[in-house]
Amino acid sequence: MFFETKRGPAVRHGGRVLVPVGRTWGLRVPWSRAAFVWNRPLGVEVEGPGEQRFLPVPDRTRGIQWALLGLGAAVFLLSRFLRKR
Amino acid sequence: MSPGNVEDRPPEVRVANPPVERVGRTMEKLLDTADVSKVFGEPVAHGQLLLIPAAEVVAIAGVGMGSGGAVGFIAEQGQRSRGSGGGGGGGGKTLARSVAVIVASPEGVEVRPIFDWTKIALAAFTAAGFIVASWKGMKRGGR
Repeated sequence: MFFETKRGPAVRHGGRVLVPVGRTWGLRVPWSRAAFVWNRPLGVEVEGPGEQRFLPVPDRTRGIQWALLGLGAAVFLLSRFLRKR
Repeated sequence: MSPGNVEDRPPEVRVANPPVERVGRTMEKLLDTADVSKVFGEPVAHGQLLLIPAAEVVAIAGVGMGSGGAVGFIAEQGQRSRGSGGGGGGGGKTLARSVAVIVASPEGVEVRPIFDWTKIALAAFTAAGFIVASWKGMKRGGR
């Protein structure tokens, strides 16, 4: 299993330098010839005159998916709890 | 595994494990997806704007193979018989989903998220299923 954070090539635009940053999670099953790689964008480093910041790249779709599934599971568990009382 | 009698083996020179080498190359290609260039697309200049698409990439692959052989004795014919075989298979898939677009303009740099409405709708239906099932269960329990 490995975790890696990698920086991509810098992109220059309008006096700013943008450096994309990605994160990789990989799994190589030792006893079989199988592998899994999950690669996602982490953010972008912005450097310009008088500014230096890191802009994260949020995965809104995943956030909404988890929120909806969490809501469903919470209602289900709450109803079971109320039925037992 | 040794099949015993090896005299009837074909005389041609065998290539050392070509399928295993091919599997190794496939795995290397899969692990190549673990690179920033696969996640961030080529920057697109549009007027004063610069757009950098960002996506999530998932790759999965698996390969398996096996072989075996056996030697038997046919009593009626008074001969030895041997046989062997091998086989393998594999599969893999790569999935990519747009996550956001980085927009650089003279005013500044911002990240604009991309929504996958199909995935959101599927999650909403699943959550609704849980809620409806819970509500029906509560009504039944209340009687």
